Amino acid sequence: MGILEVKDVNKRFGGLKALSDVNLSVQENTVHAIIGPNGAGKSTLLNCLVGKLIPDTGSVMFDGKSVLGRKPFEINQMGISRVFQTPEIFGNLTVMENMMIPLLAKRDGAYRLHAIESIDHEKDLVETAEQMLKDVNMIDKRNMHSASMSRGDKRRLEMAMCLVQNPKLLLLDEPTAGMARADTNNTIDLLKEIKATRDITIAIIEHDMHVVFSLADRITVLAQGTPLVEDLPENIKGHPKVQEAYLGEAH
Amino acid sequence: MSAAALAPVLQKLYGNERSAYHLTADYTWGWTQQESIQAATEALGWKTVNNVLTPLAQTDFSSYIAPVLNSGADVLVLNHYGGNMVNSLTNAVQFGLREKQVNGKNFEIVVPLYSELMAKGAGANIKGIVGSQNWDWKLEDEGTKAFVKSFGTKYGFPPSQAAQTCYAQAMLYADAVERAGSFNPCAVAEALEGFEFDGLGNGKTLYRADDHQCFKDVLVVRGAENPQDEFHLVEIVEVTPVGQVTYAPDHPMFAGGELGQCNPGA
Amino acid sequence: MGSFILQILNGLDKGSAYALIALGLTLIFGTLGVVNFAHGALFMIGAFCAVTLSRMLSLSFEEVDPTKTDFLGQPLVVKTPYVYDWFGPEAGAAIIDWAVPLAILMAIPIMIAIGFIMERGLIKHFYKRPHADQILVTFGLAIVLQEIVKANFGANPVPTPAPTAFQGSFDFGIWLGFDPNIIIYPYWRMVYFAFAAVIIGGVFAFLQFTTFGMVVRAGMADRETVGLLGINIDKRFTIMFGLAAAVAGLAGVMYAPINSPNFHMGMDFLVLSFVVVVVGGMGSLPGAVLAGFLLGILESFASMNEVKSIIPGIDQIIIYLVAIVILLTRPRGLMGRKGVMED
Ligand SMILES: Nc1ncnc2c1ncn2[C@@H]1O[C@H](COP(=O)(O)OP(=O)(O)OP(=O)(O)O)[C@@H](O)[C@H]1O
Ligand SMILES: [Mg+2]
Repeated sequence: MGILEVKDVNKRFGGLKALSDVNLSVQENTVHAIIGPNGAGKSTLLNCLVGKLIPDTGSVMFDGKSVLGRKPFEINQMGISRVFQTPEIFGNLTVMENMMIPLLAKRDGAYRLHAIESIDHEKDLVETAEQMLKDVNMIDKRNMHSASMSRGDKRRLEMAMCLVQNPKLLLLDEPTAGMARADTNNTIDLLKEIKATRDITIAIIEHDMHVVFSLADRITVLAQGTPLVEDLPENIKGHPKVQEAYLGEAH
Repeated sequence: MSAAALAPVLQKLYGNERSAYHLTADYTWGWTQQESIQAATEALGWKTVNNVLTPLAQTDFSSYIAPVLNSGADVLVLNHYGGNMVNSLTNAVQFGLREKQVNGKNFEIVVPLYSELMAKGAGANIKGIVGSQNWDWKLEDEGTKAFVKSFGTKYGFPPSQAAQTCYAQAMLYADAVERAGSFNPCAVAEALEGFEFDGLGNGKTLYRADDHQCFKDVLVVRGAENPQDEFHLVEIVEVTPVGQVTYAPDHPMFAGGELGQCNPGA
Repeated sequence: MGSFILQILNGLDKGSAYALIALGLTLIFGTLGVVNFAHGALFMIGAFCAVTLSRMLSLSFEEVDPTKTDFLGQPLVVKTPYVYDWFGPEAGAAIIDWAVPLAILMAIPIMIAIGFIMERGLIKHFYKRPHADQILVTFGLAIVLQEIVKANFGANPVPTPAPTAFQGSFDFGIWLGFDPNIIIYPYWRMVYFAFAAVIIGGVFAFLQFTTFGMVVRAGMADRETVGLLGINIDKRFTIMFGLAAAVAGLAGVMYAPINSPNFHMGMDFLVLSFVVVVVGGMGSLPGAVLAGFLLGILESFASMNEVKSIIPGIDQIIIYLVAIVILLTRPRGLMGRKGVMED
């Protein structure tokens, strides 16, 4: 049994079948990559895992518990954090404030309010956030308004916001898209280190094969809403079905 | 009409050398009211410093009240009715106008026409404010006494001027329909034209045929300084007899043109 | 010069009420995305909290005084407030005199509770509906609330005076070196301005410097993402609704001595506060406050005799004129953001 078990998930958008009979099993403490051509349904699948979308049929189990029927904040509280394909950070907040939001959620749970506490009084949280910002080389941007940052910085901030929650399952949707080569390599190093030092399972969607093959323990290929193959990275590389899918031929 | 009744009292209380600042609700009633009180007070020798029209929907009159004290006026005339008057008077008192001295005289506020109900809304601000009324439950005639008794027994408080007006108008209408033998508005109007009656509390009353104006005694009242209870906010200063307030139908200030042809509607 | 300063003062005071109501409206719109037409009713209910407390404090026991008669000729029933009996006539009178400021304490929990009930009981069900539905349901609610107040307090305004210590006016002019009587302003209206400044400052500080406020600001920017980060933002937004209701209510409590409260006062302010919100920019808190004061001052200027003599009746339309000009030239308002209500 994997930490994440997706069974027979279907999702339609009107006439479009975005996911059909998706089955996926992600093993604990592995990096599982999901690749596939544009429009294959990768992001849709992730959206179904975090409660942003609700599958039409099928089940999603995390850590032995069903994810379906729970609100997004409850799913996050179960230990799933996610980085979006387009950076979703709070532009009206500073970098530090952005970091505080997931930390507060982690420490206090979804419900408990730490109302009248001033931000600077939360010494422990500020320290944790600062450490995380150092890890992603962003400590010097601590007080910047996040709206004014580059796309690459926004991605790194978003990743930091997820990592700082110390999730059991980290979902990454093209984390290095829009990053410079050097930043991409830093991100790979960071994820490698996280993987080595923490109890963490990572599911990553990525078009950059360098990233995929540097990190992945297993790879699933998705095309037109259906998983084609799932195997070890070395077996995927020359797989005929994969090449077929990427060449965009009708399946 | 109320202006004519009020003028002698204003003269008695505040003298002949006054400068008045008018705030006037910007609609027909306000305009005529202001015109008549201005004419009546100028006849006494008062000067009119300014007349400012205020929007009917206004609720906060502070920006109209604020400049009054610096205008050289020593009387503020509020040609406002209902909610307008409650708020403008409250605001004027808030601005401390009644405690001020201008031109060596105590600053005064006059509200040409008000009712007990408005006095209630204005609360303590009505104290000492002179104005006029159509009717007051404290009148001593038999019609008033009977109405106050039956209304007061039923509701536990004396009737307001509005209550009396509604009651009297309903009676008058019923009577007019009976006399006309028809509900046709034109027939009812005809039955009321030149109709003279008494016994409804307002004393002898005439609906003049020439211009459809109502003529009766006018009460000059003042907000009580120390009301014995919430029903005695207003005291009657004088009952001005109808003769003093009647004007000719062709009086230039009030002549509103021809009445025109009656149109019974649908 | 004097009259100019006077009207600025007056505009700031008028603007205080506009800013407070618009601030609450924007808090609700910015968090929950609902256009709350019942916000004026919350202001009105606040004013009636002051009325209610002053009535409660004046609750009296009745004794028959056979030597006097009432208006029907029956023996007079004399009422003495219980507080006179409990604390002595002097302290009792002082307590009743201070009813309006005391009502603040009463209004805060009441308004927050009303806000919670409104949001959880009714408005919650309209989040996914179009704005037009939200407007209809909140407008309907406003009518219901005002009819409830009318049924209990009557249709007439209820005089609710300020404490004696704050009645009358202060001669600013003398203080600034003018002649007497040029710049006078009522004490209570100055209290109102100071009160509004404190509330507005408090709301901004709360949002800016507390962790709760930070989460709410994040939620205003992107409600869904805050949820995905593990925060139950709905719960916080309900609290914000309560807070916005409290702001409107307190604005109403303190307004009671300025104009005697009546059941309709909320509607009188409602249209105006929407103009304020539109001019300030939908969803912008600083915009709401700025536009509130700005429109207050403009309205005051427009009512000056010097201005009215040039453009008669300008005072009747100035607010709407400004709204039209802003909508034509800057449809997002003075400080509005892109994408708000533009879907
Ligand atoms: N909310 C939506 N409503 C309608 N159609 C949608 C919606 N979201 C996605 N789709 C469609 O579903 C299909 C799968 O989209 P999805 O974003 O999951 O693809 P993807 O594999 O993530 O592609 P990419 O590599 O480009 O990110 C696409 O055809 C897309 O247009
Ligand atoms: Mg995608």
